[in-house]
Amino acid sequence: MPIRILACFILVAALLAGVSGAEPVETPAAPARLTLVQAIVCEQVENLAPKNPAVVFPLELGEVACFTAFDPVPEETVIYHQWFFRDQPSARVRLRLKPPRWSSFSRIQLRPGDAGPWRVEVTDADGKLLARQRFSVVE
Amino acid sequence: MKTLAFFLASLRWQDLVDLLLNSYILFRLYVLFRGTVMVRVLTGLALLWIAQSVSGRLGLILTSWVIQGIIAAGALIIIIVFRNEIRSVFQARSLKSILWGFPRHSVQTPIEAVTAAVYELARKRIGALIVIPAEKDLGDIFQNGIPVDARISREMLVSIFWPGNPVHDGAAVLNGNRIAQVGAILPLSRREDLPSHYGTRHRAAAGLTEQSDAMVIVVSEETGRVVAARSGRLVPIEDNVSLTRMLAEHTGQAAPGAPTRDERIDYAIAGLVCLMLVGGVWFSFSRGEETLTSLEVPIEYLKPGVATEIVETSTGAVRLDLSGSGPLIRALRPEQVKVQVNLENMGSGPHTVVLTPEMVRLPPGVSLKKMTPTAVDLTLDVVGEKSLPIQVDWVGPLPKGVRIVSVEVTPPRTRIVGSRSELSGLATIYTEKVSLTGITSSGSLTVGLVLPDGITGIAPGAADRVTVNYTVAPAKP
Repeated sequence: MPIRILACFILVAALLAGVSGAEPVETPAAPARLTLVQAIVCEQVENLAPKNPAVVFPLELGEVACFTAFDPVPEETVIYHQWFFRDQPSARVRLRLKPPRWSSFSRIQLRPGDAGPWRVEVTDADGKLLARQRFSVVE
Repeated sequence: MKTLAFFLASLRWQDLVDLLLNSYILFRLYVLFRGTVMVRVLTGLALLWIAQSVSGRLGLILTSWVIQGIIAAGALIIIIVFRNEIRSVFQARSLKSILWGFPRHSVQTPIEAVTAAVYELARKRIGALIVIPAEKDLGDIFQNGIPVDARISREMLVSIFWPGNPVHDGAAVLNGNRIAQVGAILPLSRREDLPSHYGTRHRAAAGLTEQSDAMVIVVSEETGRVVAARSGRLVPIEDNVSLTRMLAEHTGQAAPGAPTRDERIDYAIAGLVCLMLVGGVWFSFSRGEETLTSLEVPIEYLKPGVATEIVETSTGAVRLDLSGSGPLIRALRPEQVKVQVNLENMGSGPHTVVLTPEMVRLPPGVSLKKMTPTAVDLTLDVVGEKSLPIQVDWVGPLPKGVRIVSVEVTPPRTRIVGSRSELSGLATIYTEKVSLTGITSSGSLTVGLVLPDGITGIAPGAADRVTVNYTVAPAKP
């Protein structure tokens, strides 16, 4: 019995010695990039989830939201939601993102005269275009 | 004298060509229709036109209006009444003979046989009536002759008028070298100035020649005297030489290929009258009272470089103050006036082009007095091409209970051509407005594209219509 216990002890010790004795291999990990996983235009955002996504919205709705989700977010950064009405800039919203993943949204208030083609562009802090969503507002 | 010198100096070569060409046209019409009643009718119309102009100048409104109506109706009547003459002139002749030369008879009448027959009849105191037509078709004047179509000979003519012959009382109508008709009853003249010793034959000869350019030879049964009738005039013929000469002149056989002396004088006078008439008309049109008018004329830009386009101009039209004679100004149409600016060799960027009279194209006889503005500012830009995404331009209302959740446009992009500056400000091309009315389920439709202002067009080969596939879902509360 004591021999058996000893043998087990030696085996475990040998295994432990073998693991601790191996040279650590340094594999260069690719730097995680900010990745947009969802960009959607919707009627509103409830509990950080888009509600009623669509491409045509009635003016009577009063507002339209653009929901964006990022995973991963390697570091704290900012993105922009730029709203265009008939190719003319209408609004630019700055949104802060925090690691490790983050969802954010912006919205515009609809007024009479806003009926027509819209688009919203999502860009990173450097102005790089991440997504473009097109929609229409109708009377 | 100074006025004359100024007038001659102001004449352009086009004016001389204008005058001579129209005079010649009028002269040729006279030559072709010479000897027919049509010339007389046309002369009457010309006199009426002069009378109308004079009455208009004098302020005789009603007279001028009535004459104008008569002239308008007269022109129509001429075409209807003289259709046979017009047809015979333009159908029977070659183009060369219409434009040049003087009409001669192609088939010659055997004059000697006719003269011999006439004097044999005269000697024997046998009455005769012989019609020798010229240009005018006599079918409209009488149609009651008996067609014979016999070759002309002394014996044949004498036998036709021999007493006892059933047709000896009527006229024999010659046509070239044939006797076309016999026993023809001619219309009688109603003149009261004919000598009392002239009988029915003479009255018939006068009657026919009053209405036509034919010549009629009359042999008196009572006296045996020979009389020739032309243009309503009756001329006694003393001997066979005179008759031969007269017949030769009438049939155009006096000097083959060339007009006779009388004809030459006649043509010379006609040519002069035509020149004066056309000159008068031309003068009243081009040198009449000075009239002013103003026109707003769009500027035409010529040949901008292949890759260059006009982006902006300070004005699209200029105002021209023009002057000229009243008829010319009244007849002036806006499309006859052009202002053309040549943009060749102009690069992109802003330019100021000074407008000069050389850039204005006016019809002859109209002159430019003033042009406003005198310069135009314009900006040229290089033409480029750009690929743009296409977005559907929906218009409401959105049907109740319906939500459009996705739209796919095929093709998703198109290429447009326009100036670089215009293209740089564009990010999207929109479709024509697409109505949401009636959309209750998913589907597709085809729709055209709307080009923004300042864009030249869709690039060759690029899509100008797209297919829109849309997905419809029920609306959620």
